[in-house]
Amino acid sequence: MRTQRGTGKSQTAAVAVALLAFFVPLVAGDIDFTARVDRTTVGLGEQLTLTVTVTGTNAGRVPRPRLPVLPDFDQLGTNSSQSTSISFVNGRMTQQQTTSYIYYLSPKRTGGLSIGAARLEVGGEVYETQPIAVTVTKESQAQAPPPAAPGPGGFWDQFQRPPSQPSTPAADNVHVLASADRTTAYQGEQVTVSYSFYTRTRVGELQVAEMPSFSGFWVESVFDARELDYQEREYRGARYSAALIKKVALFPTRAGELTVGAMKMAGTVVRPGGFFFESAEPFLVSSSPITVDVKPLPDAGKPASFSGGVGQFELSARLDRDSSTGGEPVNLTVAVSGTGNIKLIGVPEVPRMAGVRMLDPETKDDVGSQTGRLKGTREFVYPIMPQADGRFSVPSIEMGFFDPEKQVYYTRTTPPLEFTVSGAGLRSEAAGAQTGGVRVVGTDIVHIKPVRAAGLPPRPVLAGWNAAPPAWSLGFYPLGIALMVLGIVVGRHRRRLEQDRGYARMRRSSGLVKKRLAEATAMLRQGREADFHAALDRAVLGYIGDRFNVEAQRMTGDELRAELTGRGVATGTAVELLDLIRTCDAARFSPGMASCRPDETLARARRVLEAL
Amino acid sequence: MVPVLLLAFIAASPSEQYNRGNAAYEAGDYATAVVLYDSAAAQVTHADILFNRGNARFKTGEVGRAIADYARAHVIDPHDPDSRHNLEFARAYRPDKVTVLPNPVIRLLAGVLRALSLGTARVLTGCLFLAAAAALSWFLVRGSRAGLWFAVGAGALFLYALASFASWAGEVNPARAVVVVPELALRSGPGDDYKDMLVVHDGLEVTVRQHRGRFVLVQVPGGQGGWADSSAFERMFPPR
Repeated sequence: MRTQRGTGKSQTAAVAVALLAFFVPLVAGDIDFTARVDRTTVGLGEQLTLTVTVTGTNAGRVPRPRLPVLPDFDQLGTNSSQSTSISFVNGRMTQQQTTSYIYYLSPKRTGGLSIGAARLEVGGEVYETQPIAVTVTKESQAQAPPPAAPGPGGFWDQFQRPPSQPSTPAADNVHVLASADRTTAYQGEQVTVSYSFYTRTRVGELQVAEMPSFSGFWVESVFDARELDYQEREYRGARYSAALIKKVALFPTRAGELTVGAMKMAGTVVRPGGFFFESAEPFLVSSSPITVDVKPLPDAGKPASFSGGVGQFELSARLDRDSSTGGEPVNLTVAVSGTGNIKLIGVPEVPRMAGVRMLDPETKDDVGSQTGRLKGTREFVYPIMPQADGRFSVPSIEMGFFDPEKQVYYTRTTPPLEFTVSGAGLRSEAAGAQTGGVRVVGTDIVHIKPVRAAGLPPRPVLAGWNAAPPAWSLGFYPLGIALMVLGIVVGRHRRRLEQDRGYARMRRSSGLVKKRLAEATAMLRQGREADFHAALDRAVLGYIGDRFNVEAQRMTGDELRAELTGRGVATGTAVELLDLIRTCDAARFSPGMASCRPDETLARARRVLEAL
Repeated sequence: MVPVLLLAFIAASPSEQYNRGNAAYEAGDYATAVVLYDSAAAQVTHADILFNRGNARFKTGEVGRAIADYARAHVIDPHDPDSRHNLEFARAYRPDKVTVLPNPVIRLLAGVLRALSLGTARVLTGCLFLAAAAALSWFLVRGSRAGLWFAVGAGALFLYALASFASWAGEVNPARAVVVVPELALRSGPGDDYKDMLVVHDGLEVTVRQHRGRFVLVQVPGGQGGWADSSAFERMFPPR
């Protein structure tokens, strides 16, 4: 919505005031602090303006006054303005600043109300205004506007009286007017209502505060303003700029007195505030409600086919095809075209037809209101499902309407329509896909599988849903799990052999000792006793080294015994092992001193190693 | 049907029954064809027998039983377009329309999963599991990278086969049944005196939820359901 704005000048003035105030020291001595209202008697719901004024040489720099608590009033808005006057007396400049704080109040109750003292603190001094008594009456205190001069064409007669508004200057200069093209109508007849905004002053912000209600009407929007297109109009003897805000087509849905609601608009008007300044004053204006006397449609002459259409209409019908194959549906379209309450027209009654099934219609509307009157087409599309072959005829369809201008009922009738059906009951998936020279005229199930001279073909593997899976396939899962477990165990063993030297030596110690003992035995059989004892010594110490991952051949007897007992070997076994090693050493290096026969030494070695 | 003729049929092999059924069908004797196909199907579960029996049933006006046979034939041989076509045709012919909104993603997924038949998916799942386990084991023992990749590939194929099998398992749910009487009232309780809740017709596919004597509680597409005599239904995929 385009609005009139005028803030540039006031912004410039505000900057000038701020600059002046910056260079003037704050002195609290010469402050004049007052409060006043625009009227002391006001109607309930009307608006009251409270103006608190601070005047002084440095009034522009004083803090904002504190308003008293006002439990009996609604604060509708606030505004402020500043002005500065400069005078030169005998060559000396005197500057006076005035700051006005404007509060728009609305009383909550009737009776004698009081506006308490406003308070201002400047430089440690406290200023207070005098309380103001206000009388609130139930009746409106707004001044009725002067009667309009009688116009030659009665143009203004169609507008309603301006609403009762606070007689503030703003409210006097702006209006919302509602007009109806008729206030008496038949049920279902269009009543066009327009809402216009009138102003004869500069308007700042402007918006629709409350949309009108249309209870009892079917509403179709004709016009909604996106930008205000102001035109010069005369209203009550004065020139106004007027812009159409909204226009609706209303169709009464019941008889009786119906009320078209009021539209409220709110905004601000720009008021000049002095030599440099402008101020914005809020307003809230409302149109007046319109009463429409709705007459019921007459019962006399109402045709049985009347389905609510009020206006000037024509009726037509058509089929989307004249033949159906394979049970494809035929669409019957019944179209109502004309001017009137087209969206309120009910479904026409289509006579029953044998051999077909008619489904509920789909409704399509194509409606416009370019001329201000609702006009267009409403189509009812009935899918007809053929149930049998043959030639079918859609009987004439009649619809009754009411003409509000001629105040009579009238009927319109469509001619009969025919179509043929073949292959009913069979669904044609390829309907409509008749391309080239191929024409689909019907479908059926695929024929049976052929005779098998050589018997039925082999069954696909395990094809049946109820076939048992073969036993061998059931073994796949435990076998797979076993393989995975085996892989984990063997893989772990292999990795340990590669990474853990002690583990690897221990794992191969048994094999090695058997091999060495076999070598020692062979030497004994050959009579090589010294070599036998050396080999036996290597076998025993080698086994101990591999078994416990130690360098046994480099260890003394005590070290070896401590290592063995530390590894949990029984003390007796350790002692016997050391004795065996000593015996072997003695036999190797002092053959004559040997006190033990070699075969006994071998048997002893086997015993000790087994004990390990 | 002539009982003597039936006795002669019983002694014949499934292939002979099948061929005789075809002859009866071609001669327009659909009722006899149904009996012959029944006899063949009692001995062996074969897609062609079920497909032809579905045709014969459809021709005799048994839309629901035809739907059951086409569905069975489709499960056995999902690559046969004829069984799929006749199944959709019979479904379109039934009085109770069940509209399934087309979803391209679900259709594509179903096409991928149903590329394997139920039996193939069932066996392949076991084979691929074993292959993946063996390859994984080989990788664990020998540290072979090829073994690892083979295990990953076989594992992926195993998951696909498993999903396919699960998809088919839902399709051949033993609770699925089809209405085989022209019109059937589903009642509020398991008896003939309960209030009618729904009226369904031949060919509507339902899910059996409960059994109570000779009555079953069935659920129709859309969630509603009711009780009716179990003889009014045929199980589409009866358990072994």
